Formats: sequence, C-alpha cells, structure tokens
Amino acid sequence: MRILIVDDEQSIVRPLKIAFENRAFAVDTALDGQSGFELANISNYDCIVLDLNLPKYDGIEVAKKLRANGVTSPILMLTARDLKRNVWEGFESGADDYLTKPFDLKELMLRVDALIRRNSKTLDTVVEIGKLKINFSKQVVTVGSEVIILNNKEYGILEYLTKNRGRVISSEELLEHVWDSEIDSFTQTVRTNIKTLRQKVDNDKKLIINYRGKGYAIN
Amino acid sequence: MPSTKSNTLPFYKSVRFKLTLFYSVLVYLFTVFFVLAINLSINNYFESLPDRPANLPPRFQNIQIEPDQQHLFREIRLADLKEVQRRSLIALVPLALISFGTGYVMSGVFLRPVKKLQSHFDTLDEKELGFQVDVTTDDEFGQLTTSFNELSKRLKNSFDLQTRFIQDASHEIKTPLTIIKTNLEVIADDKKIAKDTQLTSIMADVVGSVDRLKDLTNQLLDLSRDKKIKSETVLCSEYLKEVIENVIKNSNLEKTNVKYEIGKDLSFSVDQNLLSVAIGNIILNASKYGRTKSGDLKLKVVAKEVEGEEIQLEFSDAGPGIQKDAISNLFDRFYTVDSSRSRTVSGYGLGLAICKQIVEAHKGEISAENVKTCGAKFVIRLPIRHNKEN
Repeated sequence: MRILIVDDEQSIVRPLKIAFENRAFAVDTALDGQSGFELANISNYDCIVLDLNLPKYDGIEVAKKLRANGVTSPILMLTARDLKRNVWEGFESGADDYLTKPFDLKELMLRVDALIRRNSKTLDTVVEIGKLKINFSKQVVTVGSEVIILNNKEYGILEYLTKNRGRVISSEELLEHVWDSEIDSFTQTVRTNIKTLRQKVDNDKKLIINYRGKGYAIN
Repeated sequence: MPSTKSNTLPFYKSVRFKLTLFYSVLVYLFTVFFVLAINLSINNYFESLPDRPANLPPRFQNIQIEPDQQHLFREIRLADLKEVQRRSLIALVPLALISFGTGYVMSGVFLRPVKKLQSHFDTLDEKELGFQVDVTTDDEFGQLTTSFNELSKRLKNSFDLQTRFIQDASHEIKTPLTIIKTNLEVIADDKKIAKDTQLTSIMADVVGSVDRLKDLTNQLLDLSRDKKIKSETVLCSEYLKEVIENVIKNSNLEKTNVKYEIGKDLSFSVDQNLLSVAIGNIILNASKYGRTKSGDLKLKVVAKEVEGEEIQLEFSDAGPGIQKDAISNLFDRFYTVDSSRSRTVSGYGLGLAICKQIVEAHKGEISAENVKTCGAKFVIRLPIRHNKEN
C-alpha cells in the first residue's frame, strides 16, 4: 500500500515515513499544501495523511481541491487546532478521519489501516487462499504451517493483489501502489519481485496468474 | 444566590409611566384650568348682565313681563349656565382617560428604541458577539444605539483576539510536543530497542511524560478559553447518571459505589459538554482525595430544586474530608493540597479551577464543605433560567 504524508514539519514527517515503511508501506511526503495537492492528483494513494496547517494551501483547501478533482483516496487529517469548528470544517471539506496532535503513533497507524481496509475489496484482517494465509494486522504470511519471510515489496504486491482480488492489476498499478515516487517507471522491478514472490508462496504458479499484456491477479 | 431575574419592570417604576403621567397631568391640568377660566369668565359676564337681556330674539321683544318677575330671566340664564358648567366638568372625566391614553401611546412610540436596545442587550449572551442594532432615530437614543454598536464590536474583537491567541499558543506548544512524541515512539518501535527491556521502560517513561505535558497544555488552554455556553434542557437523573458512569469507565476508577437522590422529573438547562467536564473533575477529585481508609470511593449524588429559583447538585464522598485551611483556596488555579507537588497523587491543581469557571459561566456557584459525619461535599448551585423564545 502507498500513502502520502503532508506536513510542514520535517521532524514529524521523517519518523512517520520510517514507521510506515517498517510496516511495508510505500511512503511519499510533501512539506506544503501545493506539492501535496500535486502529488495526490498524479498518483492514486491508498491513504493521505494531511496536516491542516500548511504553507501555500492549507489542509482544508487541499482536501477540497482534491475532492473537486475526483480524487477518492481516504484522507486522515492531523492538526493541533481542535476547535469543534475546525473539526467540522475538516470533515466538510472531504476528510474521512481526524486526529489531534500530539497523537499516539499506534493510533494513527491503526486508523490508516482502517481507512484502507474500508476501501479495499476485503474487510478481513486475515485472508486464507488455499494453503496461503495472510494476517494483515500482524503482517505475517504462512503457507500451511510454515511462516514465509517476504521483503517489503513482495509483501506489498501480495497485499495489494489480495485486497483487490477479482481484478487484473497491471504492472503500472502495482508500481503506483507498492513503490514510492522515487522509483523509475521503466524498471523491471515488478517482474523481478513477482518472480521472487512466486518462488516463495506460489511455486506451481496457480495462485498468482499472469494475464499476458494485462497484468496480474490472484486466482 | 441566583442572579438576573427576567427583566420585568413594574409599570409604576417605568420611565414610560413617568412620561405618560407627566404628559397627561400637564394636558389635564391645562385643560382643567382652561375650562375653569372660561367658566369663571362666562359666570362673571352673566352676573354683570342686566336682568332683562338686551339681545332678546325679535319675537320675544314685545313680551311684557312684570318688573318683579324680571329676575326670572336671570335665574333661567344662570340655571342654563350651571348646566353648561356641569356638563363641561363631567367631560373632564373622559378627558382624563383620553389624555392618559394618548400619553401612554405616545410615550410608547417615543421609548421604542430603548426597548429595542434592551432586548438586544439581553440576547447578547446567546447571539453572536458583535451584533449590530439598526440606528432608527436621530436623537439621544440614536446616539445610545451607536455607542452600543461600538461596544459590541469591541467586545467581539477582544474575544476573537483571545481565541486566536489561545489557538496560536496551542499550536506552538503542541507541535514540538508532537515531534518529541512521534520520534520517541518510532525509536521505541525499533526492534533493537524493543528487545532491551531497560531501554523500553525508559522510552515508556519519556513518552508518558510527553502525554502528561499534553494533558496539562489542554487543561491550561481550556482554562484560558472564554466559556461561552450553549444550553440544552436535559433530565437531571439521566444526565447525571450518564456523565458519572462515563467518568468512572473512562478513567478506570476502581471500587466505586454511587448513590443517587434525584427528583424524577427534575430537569435543567445547561451546556451538556462543559458541565460534564466540571462534574467529571469533581468525581476525579473525589477519587484522588475522597476515598475511605480501605480505598473505597463511596459517592452520594443529590439533585434538588430550591425555592423554584435554583437547582442544587451535591456530590459527597465518605473520605477524610477537606483540610480546614484548604477550603478557601480549593478552587484556585494550581492549588493542590499536597503542596510539595510530589507525584504521589497526580494532578496540577487545575481541575477544580476549571469547575469553578464552568459553573460561573452558567451564572451559578460552586462551593465545598466538610460533612459532619465524614467526608467532603461539593455543591453546585445553578439558577433556573427561563429560556426566551428564539
């Protein structure tokens, strides 16, 4: 899953990026409202964490503009200002959730998870497909009784394919949702990671199907 | 003691009455004087006339009347005059009513801008600050209205400034707190740190401190915020039970037992959110200082109406009571009984100060006393407000 964090404090953005990357998220960041808006307009993020107090455009404006442009990514607003009026304004401009600073990191991550879960095809925190079992909340993957160690990108691909089961996902889409903006779009990395992922969980190639010219899907 | 009663002025004290009286008495006296003067002069005129009127109509000219009967003319004329006088005097009665009536109506029209201003003053609490009244007259009342509008604007400005200051201060303090907390939590999350129990507990202590700073900041900001209340009518028993159960649950208060003595149909008009904060603080205070020797918190909550003027809420515990020298300072900011500020009992001494602010924003009173048998009792008195129709 890929998220965008928009906050003008680098000292808050950096630890948040580390924390989410440790949980196999791809994280893009922006330090002002304008860059935040531009990034969210281009890429389809699975969640946007948006501070209210931003230079250039404030959080409310960013949310309004994104919704006006048809961006449907869930938005979680962060702010130190907690007047009821600000909270209402936040929701009215298109936010899906709201946390006041200082927040509990764990709470922020659980809320982001919840927003992403809402948007995905499955609300389950544990999914079983044949012998494969994925526990999303604990981020543990098992085949039968054996625990499989996946790297962040392999886990990210498996998670995205599973949560969008029933659709064929193109390489571009995988790139957009599992990698952050630092990636070069002409890379072979999706193919490479699908290969290594299959080696680990789907040796007989029955689980992850490659639809030539279209993309991949979970069976 | 309950403050501002509804503004009904007895009529005999009002300016309107004085104006009406002044106007009608003046008109009346003038008319009476006029009538009497006319009557007097007519009287004199008639008295001065000879017995036989000089200007009799032609057909009476040739009537012969004996000299000793000529006084009859005079008597008839005087009798007629007396009748006119009698009628004019009787007319003075309805005149009194008419002059008073027109005086009353006129003074009402005249005083209309005053009434309008007064009703706006009354609603200033509930309406938006900065409310402006239309200036409709060009006189002293118009000037008064203009002054009111200026005052209203100034009040709103200072209120806005204060709110903005508090929000800015809030942001300035909470941002570094957030930086500290989030970075610490990420470090504590690190697998290497998580394995080291000593480091983990150190991190937990530091993060806990940041949380306490956060709570203190919120309380301080709460205290410095002006309390504008939004009242709703609620049923006392439901409301109090819900608020107290929530406090006990959310703060994990153990060994608590609450007894309620609340009139079944008793209701009051309060700001539900603010008052719940005040009540919560009293309960938390009781939990800290009002437990029995065995550690039980035994609360008694009483709500009753007093003389149709106030609602009285009483919160009693069965603890050691309040130290004598503490009672007068109990509701001061940062006052804690344990003056060394050691952390055996947590708290910054702001909870009761916040209670006092909230109760006073409702135009009520809060006090504390020791109950003779044992324990402390907190009493909140709220005036019964007669809600105006909005």
